[in-house]
Amino acid sequence: MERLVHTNPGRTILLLVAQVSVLTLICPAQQTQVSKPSVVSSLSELRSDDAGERAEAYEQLRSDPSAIHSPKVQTALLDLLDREEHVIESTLRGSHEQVGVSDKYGEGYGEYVAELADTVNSFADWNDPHQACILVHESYNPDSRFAAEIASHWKTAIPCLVKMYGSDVGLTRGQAAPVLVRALTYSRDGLDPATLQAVRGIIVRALHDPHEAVRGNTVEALGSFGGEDMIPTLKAVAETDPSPEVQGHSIRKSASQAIAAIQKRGGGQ
Amino acid sequence: VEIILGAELSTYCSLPGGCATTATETSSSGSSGASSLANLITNADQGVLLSFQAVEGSQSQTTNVYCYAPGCPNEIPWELTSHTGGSNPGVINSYLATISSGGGVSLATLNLPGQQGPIQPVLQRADTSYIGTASTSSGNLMMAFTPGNILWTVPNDAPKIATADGGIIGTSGTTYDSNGKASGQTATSIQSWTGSESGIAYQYGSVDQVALTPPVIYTVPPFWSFAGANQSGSNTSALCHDDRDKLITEYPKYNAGYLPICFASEFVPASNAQPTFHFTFAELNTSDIHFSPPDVPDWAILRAVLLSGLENTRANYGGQAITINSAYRSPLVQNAVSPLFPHDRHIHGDAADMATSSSQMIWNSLHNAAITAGACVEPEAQSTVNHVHADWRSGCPAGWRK
Repeated sequence: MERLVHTNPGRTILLLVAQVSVLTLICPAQQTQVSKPSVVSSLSELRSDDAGERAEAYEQLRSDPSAIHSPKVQTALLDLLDREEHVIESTLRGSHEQVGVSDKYGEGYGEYVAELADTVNSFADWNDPHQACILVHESYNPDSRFAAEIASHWKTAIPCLVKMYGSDVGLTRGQAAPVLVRALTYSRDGLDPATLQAVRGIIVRALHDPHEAVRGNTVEALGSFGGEDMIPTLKAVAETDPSPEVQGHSIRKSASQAIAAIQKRGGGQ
Repeated sequence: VEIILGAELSTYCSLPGGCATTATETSSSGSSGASSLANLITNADQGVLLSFQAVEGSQSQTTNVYCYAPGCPNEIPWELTSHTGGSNPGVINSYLATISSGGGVSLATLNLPGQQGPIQPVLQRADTSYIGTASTSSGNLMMAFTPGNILWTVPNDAPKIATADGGIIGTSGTTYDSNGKASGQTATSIQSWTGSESGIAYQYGSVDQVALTPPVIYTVPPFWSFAGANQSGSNTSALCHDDRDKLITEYPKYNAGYLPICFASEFVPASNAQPTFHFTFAELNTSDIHFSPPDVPDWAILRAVLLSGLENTRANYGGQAITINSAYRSPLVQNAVSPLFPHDRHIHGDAADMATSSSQMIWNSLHNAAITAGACVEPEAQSTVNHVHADWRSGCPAGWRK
C-alpha cells in the first residue's frame, strides 16, 4: 500500500501592502482660540474703542442669519456705520487729509466698513432720512454702484448730499458733489425749483472748490452724467483750473474730455 | 515600510485509510486577516494611523475519503468516495494601528455596536485625536476617537474641516465644538470648495481658495485639517517641503481666514523674476523682501487675476509705468503693518497699492484705469491721495466697484 502524504505548505496570503510615506514636517501648528460670543456680547463689543474688536463683533453678527434679522442688531449696525463714518472723517480732518484710516488702522479697516455698509444697505429704509443720511455719508467711489444707488434714492439722499458738501473735509465734499451730479439725472422732473437751484449752485461751486479732489471728481461726473448747460462752466475749468499737469494728467484735460463726452451724448440733463 | 496584515494558513495531510483500498484526507484551516481594505491617515508628523477590520477565529475542516486501489467503484485511481466538512466564520474586529515613522506598531481595537466596515479616519485634530466616519446597522456616524477610545459620535454627518479650537465643520455645514456638540451652522453647505460666492463662503480667484466668514482658524500641517488632505480635497500633501510651508503656517497663526494650498499655481517663486510682462517678482513681493528681517522673500502668492489686472490697468493708464508700493504681503508682514486688521486682500495675493506721487489727477487716472480693469478700488476718503489700492477679489463692496 502506498502511503499518501499530501502536504500543502502553509500559504501566506498577502492581504494588504501599504506603502507609507512618512511625512517630515517643518513646524508644529499654532493655535488660536476662537471665541464664540453671544449676540449680546457682540452688540456690546460693537461699542469697543478697539476697531479690530468692533470689526470682529460685526463679523460674528453678520455670520448669524437669525441675528442679522433682529431689529436690535440692525439698529446697532446702523449706529456702528454712523460712528465709523465719523472715525473716517475725523481721521482725515485731524491730519489735514494726509492720513486716512487705511494708514491709521490698515486697509482691512476700509474693507470692514465697506462690508458693514453693504450689510446695512441690505436692510436699511431709504425712505427714512436718518438712515438714508448714514448710508450717504459712507465712504465710496463717486462712480461706484453704491453711488448710483444713492442717486436713485434722490428724494432722501439729496438733502444729505447737500449737507455733506458743507463739510470742512475736502474728500467728503469730493464725494458729495459728483453724486449730486448723478442724482440730478434721476430727479430731473421731481425736484422742486429751489432745491434744483441749490444743487446746481453746489455743482458750479464744486468746479472751483479749493480741493483738487472736489474739482476733479465733479468734472468727471459731469463728463458721465452732465448736461449741455454745464459746458460753459466746464470750458472755464478747461482754461483756468489752477492744478498743474502731472504725467500728462490734469483737471483741465479732464474738463475738455467731459465737454467732448457731453457733446457726444447730445446733452440730456 | 511594508505592512502585512493578516495571514491564512492551510495545511493538508492525508492518512491511509483503515482498509487496503482507501485513504482519508483531512484538510483543516484557520484564518485571521483583514476583511477589507484599510484606511490610512497621517498621524501629525509621527507616522500614520491605519484603520482596518480583521476576521479572527475563522475555521473550516473537510474530510475526503479516496479509493486508490484496483477495485474502486469506477476503477478510477484516487476516486473520491465521500466528503464531509464544516466551518466557523469567526468574529470581525475593528483595529486601529498606530505606526510610527520608524516602523513600530501599536494596535488597538475599537468596535462600534453594529459596525459595518472599518472606521474611516478623515481629520486629525491638534490634540492628536481623530475625526472620522463609520457605518453601522443604525446608520452612518461622524465620530471623534483615539486609538482604543470613542470620544463622541454624531449621527448623519461627516467631517470636513478641523478648526484650531478643536471644533469641526461638517459637510452639512453644521459646526461642532470640541465635544461634538452642534454650535452653529454655516450659511451655506461647504460640500464643495468650488462653489460660487454666496452667503458666508467666499471664493477668491481660483477655485481652490476659499475662506469662511467669520474667519475659520484652521489647524495647519502637520495635522490633517481638511477632508481630502487639503482645501481642494485632492488627497495630495498639504505640505510643500520648502519655504512655502512656512508661509502657509503663518495664515492660521495670524487669523488670516483661509489657508493657501501648497501646489496652487498662485505660489510664485523668486526664480520667476518676471511673472508678468511689466511687473517683476521683486516689485510684487517688495513688502516681504524689504521687511526686517525679510519674510519668506523667495515666495509670494500672486494670483493670475492680479497679474492680468495690473497689466490691464497699465494699458488703461496709457501704457505708462506704474510704481507698486506694495502687493503681496505675508500674514506676518501684514500683521506688523496692520495688527488690528491682519486679513486684508494683500495676504490673498490679489491686491496692489499703486503710487500716485500724491497727485490728485494721478489718483483719479489710476483709479479709472483700475476700475476699468475690473478692480475693486478703495475710496480715496480711506486711502487718501497717497496711493490707489486695487484688488481683484471675486466680489467687492458696492462702493468700491463701478
